[in-house]
Amino acid sequence: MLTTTTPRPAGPLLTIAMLLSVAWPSTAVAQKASDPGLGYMYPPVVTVGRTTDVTIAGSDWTPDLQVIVHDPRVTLETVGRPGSLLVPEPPFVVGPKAYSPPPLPREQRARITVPKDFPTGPVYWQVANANGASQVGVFFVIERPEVIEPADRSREIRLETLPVMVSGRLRRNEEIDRYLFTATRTGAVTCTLWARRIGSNFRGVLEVRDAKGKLLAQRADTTGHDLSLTFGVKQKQRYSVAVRELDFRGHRSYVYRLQVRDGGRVLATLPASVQRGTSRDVLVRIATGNGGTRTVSRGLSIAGDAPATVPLGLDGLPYTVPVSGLVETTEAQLRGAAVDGPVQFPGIPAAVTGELETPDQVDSWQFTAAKGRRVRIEVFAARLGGALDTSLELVGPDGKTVATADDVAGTTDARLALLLPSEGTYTLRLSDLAGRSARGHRVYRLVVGDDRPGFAVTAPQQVKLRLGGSLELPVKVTRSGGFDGPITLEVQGLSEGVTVTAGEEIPGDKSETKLKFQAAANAATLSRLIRIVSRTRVAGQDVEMPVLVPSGVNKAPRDSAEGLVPGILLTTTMKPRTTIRPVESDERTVHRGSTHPAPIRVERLEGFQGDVLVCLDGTQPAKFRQGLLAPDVIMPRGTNEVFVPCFVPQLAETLDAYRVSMVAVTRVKDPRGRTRYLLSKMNGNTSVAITVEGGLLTLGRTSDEPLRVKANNGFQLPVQLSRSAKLTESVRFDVSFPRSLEGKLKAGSLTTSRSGRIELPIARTGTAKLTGRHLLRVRALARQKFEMPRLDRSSGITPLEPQLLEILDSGHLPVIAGVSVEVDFGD
Amino acid sequence: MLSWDLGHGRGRFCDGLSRRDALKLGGTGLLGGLTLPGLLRLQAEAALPREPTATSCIMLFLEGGPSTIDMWDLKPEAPREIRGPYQQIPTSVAGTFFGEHQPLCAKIAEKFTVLRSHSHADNGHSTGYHYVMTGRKAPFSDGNLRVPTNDLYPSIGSMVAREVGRDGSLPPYINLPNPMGAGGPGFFGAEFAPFVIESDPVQPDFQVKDLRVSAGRPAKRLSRRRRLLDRFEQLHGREPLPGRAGVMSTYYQKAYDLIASPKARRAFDVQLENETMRQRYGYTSLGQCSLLARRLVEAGCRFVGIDHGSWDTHFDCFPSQEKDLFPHADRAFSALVTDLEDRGLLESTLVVMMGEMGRTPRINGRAGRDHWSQAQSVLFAGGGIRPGRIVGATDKQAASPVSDPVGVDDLLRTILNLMGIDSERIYHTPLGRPVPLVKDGRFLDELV
Repeated sequence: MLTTTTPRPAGPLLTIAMLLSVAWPSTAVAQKASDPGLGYMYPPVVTVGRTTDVTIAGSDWTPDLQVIVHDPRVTLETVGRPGSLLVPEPPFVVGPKAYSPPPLPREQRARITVPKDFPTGPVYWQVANANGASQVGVFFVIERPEVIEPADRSREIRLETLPVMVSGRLRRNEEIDRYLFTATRTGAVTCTLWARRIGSNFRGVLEVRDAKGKLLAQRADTTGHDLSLTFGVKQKQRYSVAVRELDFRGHRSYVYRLQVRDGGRVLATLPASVQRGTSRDVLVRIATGNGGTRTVSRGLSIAGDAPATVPLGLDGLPYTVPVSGLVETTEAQLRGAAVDGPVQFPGIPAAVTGELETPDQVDSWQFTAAKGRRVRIEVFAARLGGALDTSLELVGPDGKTVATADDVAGTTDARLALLLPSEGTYTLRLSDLAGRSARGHRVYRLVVGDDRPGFAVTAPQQVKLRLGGSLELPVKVTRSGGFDGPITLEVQGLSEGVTVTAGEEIPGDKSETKLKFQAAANAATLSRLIRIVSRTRVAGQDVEMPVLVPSGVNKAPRDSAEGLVPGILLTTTMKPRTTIRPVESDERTVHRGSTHPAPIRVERLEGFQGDVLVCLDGTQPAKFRQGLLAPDVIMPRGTNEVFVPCFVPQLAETLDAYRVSMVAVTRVKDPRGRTRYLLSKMNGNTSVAITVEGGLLTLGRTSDEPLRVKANNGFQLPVQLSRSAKLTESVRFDVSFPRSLEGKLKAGSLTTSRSGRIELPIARTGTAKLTGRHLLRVRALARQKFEMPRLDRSSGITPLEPQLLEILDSGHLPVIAGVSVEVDFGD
Repeated sequence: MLSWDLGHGRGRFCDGLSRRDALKLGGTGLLGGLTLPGLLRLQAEAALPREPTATSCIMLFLEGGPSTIDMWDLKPEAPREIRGPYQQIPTSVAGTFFGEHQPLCAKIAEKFTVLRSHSHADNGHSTGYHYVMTGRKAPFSDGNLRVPTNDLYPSIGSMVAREVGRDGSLPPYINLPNPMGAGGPGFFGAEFAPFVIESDPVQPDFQVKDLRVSAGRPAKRLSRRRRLLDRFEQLHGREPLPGRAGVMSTYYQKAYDLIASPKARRAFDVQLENETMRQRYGYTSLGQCSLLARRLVEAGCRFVGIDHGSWDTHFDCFPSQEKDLFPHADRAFSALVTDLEDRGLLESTLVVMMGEMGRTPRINGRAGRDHWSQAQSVLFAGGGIRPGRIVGATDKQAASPVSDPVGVDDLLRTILNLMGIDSERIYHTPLGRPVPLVKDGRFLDELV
């Protein structure tokens, strides 16, 4: 923390300290934004009517961080302090796949309380501080507790009953999460993975194997829309479901939800939607696994006041059918026995569910309309979950193309809205541009109706306003059906000292206004949700609508309307008090396993004189990879340069340079006397640059085979030590035992100046019988000559491992090598 | 009037007409008296390979682009924002000066030659690398991370591997310590790909993983793998295995040959060198790779390409140049040349040190130098090169050549010809298109 008060020695000073921060904002060319980043919540579910402990994580999180839950009925309370910076651990990936790793988070415990009567579903949240605000995150309120994958799981998790929902995450590279279940009946089982839809930035793979390990079914999320997999099972047989990332990557932010349930998967219903106040049979096409499908008929009675969707009601199929006020029919009903040729559309307005028999088929629909009629023609296909990428062409009575349409914003579905130029029969040609969807997945719903006057207003989700400054927020309106009236805007919930000074009307002939926000110089720095309400008259009626803004959580939305929220986060911020840059921005050669003391310069601004904390930026450049590590360091008042020890792991690749970015953090008071922490980042194209060469010190196994030892005795653990001629200091060893051996074995102390085979004495400390194979981690530590300034440990917090810190304290830079040795105690 | 720019100073013939110009003109029928048989004869004469003066080549590739104005071609009269902070120092050759951070090379300047007028027009890293190694413009945009990037045209190393072939048990073409970005075999195929160690010889436990035989039943395991491969290949008859299987079969064959050869394994064991020699080359990646390259050439390797990165010095370039890049290169190159000479190998070993481009003469606003392909220096030693000379010159700002501009084709043709390789030799791409090893350029007589 920045609260160190102990006297500091004169001259250059390093203090290993800890701040509750790293970064996660988007990259930029110039000065990078210092907004706090929002990483993840785990588990991503909380139970209604209970208080649930969760871990939240993000970057650039300062001690004054404010957590904002969009629904005030839900409370989120942070517990304790954020943990240390989490640089990814081995296994590492190398080559192009290693570039642009996810941000480096710190994790924080939190407690969420949801009232009893709260509806299940998503709840949005954000964090903010005096530097800015994060993007939106989400967690889910559920009815009853679900299976949570524990952090320390080492084997498969058994799923006792189906259906089941699991919250898990792929924490590190090469991680594969496996779940076992036993089929209670012969038939189909369906697994559904939510990852991108809940904001996790990874593409998953689902694999199903039988008890013998034979691969039965596999599906990969190659389109970025998450996935479902249906497969056949036999009663009482055991199966495993594996979840992994497409490229076997992993990260603590790779949180997912997995549903495993009995039954097939609904591919489509015909019709795709049903009309309120009617009863009819719906054909349900179901995937039954192993490439098979079956179609069943289901009778539905829809009440006149039915909601937007109704449950299909088929056993084991959690599917809801959309409901509309239109006449809903199917292509088969209209076409009858006719195979080819255009089909007459059943009037305007109406909806038809059709199907393309082949990928290159073009369906033609005809309707007759008068000149000057405003029509809206819309296709729903991708939004129904299919893979069609639809295209529309409207041909007029004279045979000429009147209009064409491809993608609507946010989806690959097509939409047309136009004034018909003449009276007569129009032909609507619908085709698929993707051509990849399998038979049974080429279902679409075509709606032709009047384009009624209306509008939709959108705005960005954040207003970041510096104290004493102003900001123009672009607010856009999409008009339809010829609506050209003026729209007034009212901003609700402004904090004290913030006003809107202009732009509160969108004139009838405009599609945008700029709402001008002004913050008083003496306003408080805080973050709160505001709302914008739009008002106008449409067709003689007063209309009032909230402005909905995109949350951006769902990385695989089917529709741009998904994830819209009414809450806009207004954050008042302060000017940074520093600039930070590396003294040397070009590559310096560093050996694997050793430490580069990177000189960093910080200039103080705005009369600020206090301490500055320098730490790793959570949003690292693309070339930050393979676990580079640097402790947090304090630059005391009166100095403007500091060495930051950058530790290069033993497994760093030598193929390309590494780049490391730092941030400077200062503690100041805002105009209301509240303590705030301000961040500055390095310019977008400067960073500490490191070229990695082979290590000075390496540690290897003496054999590829496990070391066989007698269970009840101590033993000698052999390792092969090699050192460069450049490294003359003695080497100390450190052995760490897996949890299974903790308290049962103890490593003797050994320091050597030799090379070659070294035997480390391991003693028994208990009487418990040792069996099986265990992995022991051995590290060799040496010191690299460098006149390192003394360290101030007054904070008492040591983000580095103790051994590393000890060596740093001694005025040298550490050189570390490690190896894992497998020990076999027999049965 | 129709006029033809016949070039200046690049002609192979006494009338100043280059062979390429002659062929172009002949092709249009505009050159009176030059018949088709005459053209073919001209081509044949032009293509005649020289007697080889180099049996091997070591290429130190400074990836990213070294700065000629800071190393080999200082301009003390230029403004400070051009000339930079470095002073020039005298060398062992009277009247020749290098940068102050090349003291070891300055001491042996009589042993090598600096070509100061290498110039081309590709300012990209991966595209420039591709161009310099293959003589062909890259068919992709810069920044491509594929390794190797030259998936169609062969690199100079693969050309040498194909034309000169193996001498003994070592692969004819080796990359150290990483694969060269554009060092692949292109359409020549896996047989002529570089053997890549992917291990840094500076590391104290350095070993080539492909040569390491696992402890415990190594011979048995190896022979079992070999038998499996043989049986798999027999299943396919005498035809080469198709696709990736064929490629892998070729790689396995090469690896098996290596593992089976004690001489090859010994050549890669840089730890057999004494401490004095290792320190002479410097305990740096470039230094130890250069030492290893000498061992490999000594054992019969034909072309060693050393990939040394981080020369892309856009920001605050002078600290990293002074503290790392220049001293490492200075020590490695001077030690290599001297060592080769001491062993009597320099005459038959061509040493080339270059990058894919140079750096901008003007120091940018971030105290660095940006990409500049118009002028860079290339160092040549041994292999028939006349040493102790400066060839070519640049203008007052080291921005572009003022005499003897030398292009990529010239360089490649010269290296091949010094190794006795017919640089006009035609090969056909998989689609049947005839492609000469080098499509343009001339032999650089001024280097020999």
